[in-house]
Amino acid sequence: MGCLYLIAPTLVVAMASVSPTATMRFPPEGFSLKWYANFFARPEFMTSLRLSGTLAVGVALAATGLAVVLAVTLRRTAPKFGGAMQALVLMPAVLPTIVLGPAVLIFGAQTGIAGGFPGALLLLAGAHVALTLPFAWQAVSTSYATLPPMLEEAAEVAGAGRGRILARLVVPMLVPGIVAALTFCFLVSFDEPVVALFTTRHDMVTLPAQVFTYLRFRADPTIAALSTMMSLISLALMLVADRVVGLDRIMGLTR
Amino acid sequence: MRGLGDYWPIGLLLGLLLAFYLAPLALFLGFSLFAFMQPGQFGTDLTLENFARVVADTYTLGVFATTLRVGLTVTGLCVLIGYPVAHFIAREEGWQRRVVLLVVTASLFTNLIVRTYGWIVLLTPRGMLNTALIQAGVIEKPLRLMFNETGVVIGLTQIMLPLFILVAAVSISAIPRMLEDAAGIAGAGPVRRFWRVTLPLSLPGIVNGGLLVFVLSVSNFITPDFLGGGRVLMAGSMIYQLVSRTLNYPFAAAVAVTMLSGAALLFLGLWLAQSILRGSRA
Repeated sequence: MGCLYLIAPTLVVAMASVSPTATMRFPPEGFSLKWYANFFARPEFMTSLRLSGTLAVGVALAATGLAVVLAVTLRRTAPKFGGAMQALVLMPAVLPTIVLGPAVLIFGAQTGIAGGFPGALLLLAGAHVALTLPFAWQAVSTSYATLPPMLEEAAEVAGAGRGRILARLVVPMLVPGIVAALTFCFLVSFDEPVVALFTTRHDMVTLPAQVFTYLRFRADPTIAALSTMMSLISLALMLVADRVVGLDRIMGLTR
Repeated sequence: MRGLGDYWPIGLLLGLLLAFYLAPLALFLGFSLFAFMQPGQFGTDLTLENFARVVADTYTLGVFATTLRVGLTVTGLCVLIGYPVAHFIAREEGWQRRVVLLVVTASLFTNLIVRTYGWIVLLTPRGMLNTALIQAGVIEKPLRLMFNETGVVIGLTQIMLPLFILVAAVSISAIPRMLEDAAGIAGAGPVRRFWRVTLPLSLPGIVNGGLLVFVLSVSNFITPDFLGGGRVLMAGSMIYQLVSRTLNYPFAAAVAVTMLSGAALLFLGLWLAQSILRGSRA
């Protein structure tokens, strides 16, 4: 029952997305892909798709990279800071984005950083890195916990420098955790609507912000087509994460 | 040899959070202590008048009452619906469990607007649910399922559910099975075992998950906006309107500070209650 409640809207949207009529009929009258075509034909969606995609890839790489070097540092160099740093890293997962959105907007305006496109994008990307860091940390640190400290010590004794240990030992051993972290961070940034909405400018409208504006004025199934594609992407990426690392381990479930 | 240079990742983290997270937050919340003159112009003296308005203004109090009511309802529903699913994920085996876990995780990582949109399609007066019910002859006139609190609660509960399920499942799965087995050997039946062992031990997970759901529901403005149709005003929507329409940053900040303090008080209260409960058991 609980599961049906969870997927009912997604199924309904998938049905609406292939309906030939603009208003939903039940049962559906025929099958059409024209709303999918409409999505790809609208230049504003394509511009937003490119922006959101680029932003999400950059954010995922930055957050995951930071999580990896941080995990190594907190174990090897500064274990006594572990608790405090972890609390800092996880804070953005608890603090509502409705507070961060206005904060980034006002900060950008008051300091003048958001005056041009590069500065505005930098602020949005920085906020996204903070927002995705908890997810990257969760995936990377659970994966790193299974790597025996002995291996790094052995490499150090054998004369490997820090950079070499990171590149030749830690990163290769953490590939599953890193893949999971990249996946989660990409999805969180790509889907993030609140900070993106507050910081929207004419030349910086992310896909969620574009969808928000579009839905305000129209309710045709173009958004249903996009929704179905995004749900499928989420499902596919979760399947990959489950194959590579196992959802149980990423989520911290004890089996 | 370890030099200061080895600490650079910590410096990077602190710098990043300071520049892109903590400084903006401090600036925005700090606005709550200054008077609002007109858009873009604010007083220079410290004042508490914004907070005085939050407590005195009946409109704002009404918004907070709605926020609290919706937040508590959504949290309660998430616990009731989510706990059995969490228990299933934590304790069962087999492919059904894997499918449920996959569905829950994929929902968690699906766009908020996309999931709200699904409810619009389902719940509008001429939407799927009403059309189906009328055609089946169950009802004659469309039910009002949207543009009111019912719609907001239905949508928000579904959107918050995956988060609660995962937090609760982690907590249930961490309870050693041995304890349940021991209770079984001592003669407790499955019902008693659940009420006296599993449920009390997973209480921290329920509290954490519930708190997270509460905080994220009361601050959500996208779902109430679409499913409430502007008729269900919650604290999140109020902050959004104050910032983006009237540019009244000081009052928006005061509303935000009040909302966060409320959540913090709730957190503290629950934490105290839990430690007292634990103390009385020991």
